[in-house]
Amino acid sequence: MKEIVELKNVSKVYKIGDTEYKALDNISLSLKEGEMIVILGPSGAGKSTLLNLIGGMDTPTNGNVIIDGEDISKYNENKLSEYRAENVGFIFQFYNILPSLTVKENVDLVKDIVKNPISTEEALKGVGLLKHSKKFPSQLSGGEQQRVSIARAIAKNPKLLLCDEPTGALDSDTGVEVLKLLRKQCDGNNGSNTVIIVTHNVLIADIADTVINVKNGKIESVITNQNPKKIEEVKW
Amino acid sequence: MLCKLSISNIKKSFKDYAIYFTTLILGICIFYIFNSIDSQTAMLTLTGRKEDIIKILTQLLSYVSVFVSCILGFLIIYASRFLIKKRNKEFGIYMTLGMSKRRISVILLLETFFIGLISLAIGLLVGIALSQITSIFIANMFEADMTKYTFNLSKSATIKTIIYFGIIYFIVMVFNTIIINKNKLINLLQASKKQEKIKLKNPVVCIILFIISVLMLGTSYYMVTQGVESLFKYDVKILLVPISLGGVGTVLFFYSVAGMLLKVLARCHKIYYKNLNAFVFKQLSSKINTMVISISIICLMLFMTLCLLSSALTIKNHFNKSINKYVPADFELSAFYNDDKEDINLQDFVENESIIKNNTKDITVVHTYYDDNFDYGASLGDYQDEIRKRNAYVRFNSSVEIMSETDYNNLAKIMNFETVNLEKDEYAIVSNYDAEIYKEVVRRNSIMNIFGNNLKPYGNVIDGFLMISANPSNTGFFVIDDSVLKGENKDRQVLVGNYSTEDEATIESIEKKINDYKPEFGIMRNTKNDIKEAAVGLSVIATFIGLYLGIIFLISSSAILALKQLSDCIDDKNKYRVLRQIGADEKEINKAVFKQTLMFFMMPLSLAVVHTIFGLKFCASILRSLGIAGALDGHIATFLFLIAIYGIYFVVTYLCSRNIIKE
Repeated sequence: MKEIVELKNVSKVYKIGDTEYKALDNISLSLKEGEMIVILGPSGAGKSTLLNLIGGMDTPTNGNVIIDGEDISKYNENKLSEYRAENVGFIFQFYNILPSLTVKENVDLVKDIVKNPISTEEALKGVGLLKHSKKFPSQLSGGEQQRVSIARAIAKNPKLLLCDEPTGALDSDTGVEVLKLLRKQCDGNNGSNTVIIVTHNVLIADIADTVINVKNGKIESVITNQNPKKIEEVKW
Repeated sequence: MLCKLSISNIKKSFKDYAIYFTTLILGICIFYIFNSIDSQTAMLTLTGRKEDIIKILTQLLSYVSVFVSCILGFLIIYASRFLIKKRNKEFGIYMTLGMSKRRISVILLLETFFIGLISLAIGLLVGIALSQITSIFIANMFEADMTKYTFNLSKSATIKTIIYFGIIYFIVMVFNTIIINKNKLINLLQASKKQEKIKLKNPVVCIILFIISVLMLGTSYYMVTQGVESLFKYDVKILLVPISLGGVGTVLFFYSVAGMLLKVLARCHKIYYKNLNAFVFKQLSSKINTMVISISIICLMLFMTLCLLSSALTIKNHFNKSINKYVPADFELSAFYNDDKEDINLQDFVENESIIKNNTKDITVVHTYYDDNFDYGASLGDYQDEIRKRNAYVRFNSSVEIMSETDYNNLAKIMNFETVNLEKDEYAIVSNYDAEIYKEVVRRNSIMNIFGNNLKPYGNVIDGFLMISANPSNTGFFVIDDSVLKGENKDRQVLVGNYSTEDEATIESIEKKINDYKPEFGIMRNTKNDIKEAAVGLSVIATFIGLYLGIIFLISSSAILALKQLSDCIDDKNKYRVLRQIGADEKEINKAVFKQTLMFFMMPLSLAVVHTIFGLKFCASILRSLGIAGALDGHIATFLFLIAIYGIYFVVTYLCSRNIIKE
């Protein structure tokens, strides 16, 4: 399998007033295509920063972020949004869907942005929400809303699906449903899609192909899971 | 899709901020109405002076419109910046999905364009409809004939409204694009996570600033009330001192109060911990803290509204009343005697013009005389020294007019004054402007030496005048017994009369004769009709400009307050959910919202009312110097007007807030 993400000596420093805060401290890392990867660590460890850099939402202070052979760390704003549009799907803890649009319209949004999207119907069918497509987000449960955001992300047919605590706001059973959908995305496209999940929930790590432990802005360990658990076996 | 997004966004904001969009439409509608005055009056058969007044009014209104469009522009730009800030997360989502900033700008551009289009269309339609009604109002003011009434639509006002608001919306578009391009994705997504920053201000600094602000306001209050006489002595520019003191003082006042409010209230345990008060005060304090400048501007706008409208209505009321009192006769001619030129005889002029002779009655001619040794200073008796100290600029050596008892009683008959019956050693004073001075002279029983005779005062100062005019303007003339009067020094002759006909054409030609009468040197002429029309003109202009600015100031201020309160409610839904979860019942929560909204609306209004108490005193002195004396009687109507509009906004805001936090 080829490498889809490669980080070389990446640092990210935030300035809050006069004090500098190192969110990531000289990290190097490479991730294989087609894997389900879990980034694990306590709050404030730098997990989300890492995810944001990979997703082109932020740029590193130092170092290179190489995605599929392209160094995006030197991209300007326009190229970055192009990169996000064509390569990355995001899923957030609190869904980030637009309350003023219906389920279908929320997914339709990407049609305008991406060159080769998969159809809205297919994406909604994939997450089992086709019959709710005319509803507004406020009429759905938390798990259903998260499935809308997954449908929106997979409609872009992205190489990279980046998930920031996707089950954080959900109960165990609903969370498992969401994880199943993520696994399905990972296995789709002849197994060439990569899913990266950021979480502090250790139990989720059991289902991943690779688990990366982050602490204090540094990588503590990279563990390859020879026999990932089946998702149904996970409970928290 | 972009279009669809814009439209769905607009729909949503229309629902949440209906009160703001209503204000926008109202603003456009008022802008149209006041700019279409000339076409509204075009169908009225107005001539001469009335036509001139409309011309002046139209011109003044077009200047004021520039100012008004600035105020409305400020409102619209403020509101749209404010609404954009609330949508950071939404833009963050677009950008995460990979939408470029250019496309986001296009969405906003479309939104502004649609909002502009809709508000302009509705505003203009409502404006055109309402202008039919205002036409009736205008016709009424001008006592014009409305029988030829037709539907009117002002093309120029429509185009002007579209251009002015087009420019405003264009500026909004530019602002929005700049804001979007400045935003960073990472900050947008984290916007909601950021805790609302509560700027903690140093309490000692706040107390010091508070004292400074009170001192500044006090000084400016003093300058425009007690110190007003010395203020008038200087150049007009000196007015900038109290104005800037008041402006800066107002900002400092709200800045320091916002910093101290919570601390002071928290000390009053009984109030602070009652019901949900702690929550209410906290909310209020954060609101005021985040909009010190806006609240100050609102306070000043409310203050200006109160002063402007009060003065305008006072002017209007004044002229309605004063015409009947100060213009009892239909026409008047007066000529000063001139040593170098041959005397003219007003009586001859009237006798020789047959149309005047045949259509007038009560013709009365009176003469005044002067005594070289009896100047204004002398006429004040021993009160003179005090007046000299007070009013350095009065000319004390100017001559004082003296009239015989017979002439005066003739004049009194036609003018409806009190007649006199003087003894040989008595004098009477007739005055209606600054009459207090002569009243004091009479009270002191001052003996006057006129034409070599020592005379004592007769009764009190008589309320009267020699010249008819819209305002009391007679500083005083003396009346003495016929036998004491020495007739060498003639000052002037005055001829007063009434029409014996009611035929307008005849009256018009009489007045034309009077106005065309130009002997070798100037005579003064006044007719009741001219004075009336001039007065109507002034009061119409004052009323229109007062109303125009007043309404715009009021709705703009109220809309900003409403917008802030509503958007806070949308943000604070969670807080209210928590309140419910910890056991606050619906009634208590509604009460908390009510208190919060009320105090928020009262904040700028209370200081504005204090400003107004002093501001109105200043307005009164300005009006007095223009000859419009008497108390300001427009303030009650003004206050009711303000309470009505401000009150409607308050009630609607409260009801909407309650709705927003309900679910």
